[in-house]
Amino acid sequence: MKKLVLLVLLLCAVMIQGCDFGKKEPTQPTPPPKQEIKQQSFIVYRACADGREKLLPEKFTINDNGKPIAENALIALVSTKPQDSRMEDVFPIGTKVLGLRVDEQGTAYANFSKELTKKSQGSYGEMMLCYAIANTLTEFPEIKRVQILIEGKKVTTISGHMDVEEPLIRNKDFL
Amino acid sequence: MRKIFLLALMVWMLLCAAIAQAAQITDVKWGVDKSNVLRLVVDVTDSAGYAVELEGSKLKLTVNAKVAGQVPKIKKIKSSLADELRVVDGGSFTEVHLPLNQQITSSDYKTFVLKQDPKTGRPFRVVMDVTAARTTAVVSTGAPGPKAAPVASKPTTPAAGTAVATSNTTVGNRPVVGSRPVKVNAAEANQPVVRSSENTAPVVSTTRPSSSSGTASKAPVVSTSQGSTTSSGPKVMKISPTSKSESKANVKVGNSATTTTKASTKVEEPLAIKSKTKFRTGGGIKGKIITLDPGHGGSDPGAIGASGLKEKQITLEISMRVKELLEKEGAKVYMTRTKDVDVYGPNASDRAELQARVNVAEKNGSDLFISLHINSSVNKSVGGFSSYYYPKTDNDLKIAKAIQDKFAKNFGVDNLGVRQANFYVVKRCSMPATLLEMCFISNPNEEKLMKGRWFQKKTARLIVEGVENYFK
Repeated sequence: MKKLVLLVLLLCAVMIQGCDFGKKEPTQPTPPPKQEIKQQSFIVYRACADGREKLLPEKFTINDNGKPIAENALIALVSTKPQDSRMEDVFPIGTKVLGLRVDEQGTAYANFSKELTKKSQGSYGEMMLCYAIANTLTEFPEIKRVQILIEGKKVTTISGHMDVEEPLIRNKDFL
Repeated sequence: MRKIFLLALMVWMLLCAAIAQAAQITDVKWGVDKSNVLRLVVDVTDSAGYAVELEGSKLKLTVNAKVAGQVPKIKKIKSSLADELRVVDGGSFTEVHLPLNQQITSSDYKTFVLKQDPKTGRPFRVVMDVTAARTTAVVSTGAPGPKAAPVASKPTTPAAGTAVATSNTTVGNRPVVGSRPVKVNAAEANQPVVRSSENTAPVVSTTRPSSSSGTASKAPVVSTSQGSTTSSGPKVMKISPTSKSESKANVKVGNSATTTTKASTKVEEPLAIKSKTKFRTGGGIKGKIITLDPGHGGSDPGAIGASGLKEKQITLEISMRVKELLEKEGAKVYMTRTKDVDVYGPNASDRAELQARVNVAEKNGSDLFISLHINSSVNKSVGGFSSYYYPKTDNDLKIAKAIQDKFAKNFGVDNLGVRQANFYVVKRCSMPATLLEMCFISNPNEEKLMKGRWFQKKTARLIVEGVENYFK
């Protein structure tokens, strides 16, 4: 009899726990364990300031912020100014990286805010912008090609010249 | 004793199962943004699978979760798209019905999920954005043949007859539901289930009979919409064959099961036309058909100089001079535009605009396509000429080089050379083509230069000389 009572008690305990578990889980996920601050190093490619069709590498080292390194590289490319006067920032002011997703085939979907598409730009600037993105991301071995998205959608062109409907591959001529 | 233990275990398992099933819809909200996009947000306590169907003019979002009692069954909506939404309790799943005031296509809505956010306390959400149906634009270039919208809707074939939308709905590459199937009742089971995921265009599942592929295959898409039906038999979407001579946009989509279906295929953008005649590359300039494309125009100014000079003005002025000179030499010249206008139409999509330019060349069976542009750079000291090509035929490099050689020999500005580029117009047209970047509007010296008659005349003459050499 004692055993039975114990068992019932145990059952009750399990039930309560089960209920708690069910209620708590969706609202309070356990915070990720704190890690030591790690650093990430990557290279971003900037347009050459002298008008040649060349991209110059700029090295970055940042504290690990939990984001994938490729996304951090893209954010750095779009939202920072080059430190070297030989490089030019070709990204329109206000452009934001909305996300980066890489599929199994090695296609990176780089999603930007609509500021990236700027009409009043020559083909030179547009081309440098596209390949700054493509070459910066293809620096990571898991990324083979880059599909530019604007607000989640494929677009035909950025400024009226480049065809960006299909993913861009690394442009070795620009390096 | 063992029996009691087993019983206890069973009770516990049942309890666990009940908890696991407890994904519940706590709210269904809506909102309309500035650009008149209607957003529905379904709050769910736990991650849940979903499916979307477009039934005639009704959008049906099925979420694999029970609906909580406090959620109202009907909500009024202030939008031009719909007046209300209905929440239909389907037992273990819930349907949100959105009767629309207008016919939309699969490209007009997209669905995605948002993860629960512990910081803001927001739950897991299924979100559906519905945009107003875009009106069919008028093709100013008079593109013949069926037009098609280049929306990335990939038709996939559902398993015939027994196509029940089972399995785990995958959203944005993440399996959302563990092992709970999305339950769909028999009537719905045979209908195409539309699923979409984050960052991708909605995928419409329709079976397309191969017999129609003759005319429809070239169309990048056919976004189909479908009237509701009570038919229980397997439904197959059929696209009735259309004759090639039919130049109207609407391709009728019939339904094998019912005749009451109001289905149409909406197409908004010009279909890529392929030139029927083969381009000529030799035998002199006389009688050759050449299409000139003055870059930008209308709502698109192109690059703008420090003095306010717009690329679209200069490209048109030089193009008109080139036209005159080429005609003197006996060539037949077509222009994508002769005024300050958009080629396809104001505020058309970039694709429509660029394809419309290519179509002018294709339609006229051109031997050569030349797109004229003015470059620009952040660096104001950069200047010079460059000729771009896309290596699609043996003659693309040849024409770019023929013109660039003339520029290089006869101008004191920098020779930036012949360059290969992934430019839309030169890549997508079937005949040899080049895109010329005639100096930089961002360079104050060159900007001043290109305004002048001397520069424009000389540039036009050099282009014509290059074309002459190409056809030699």
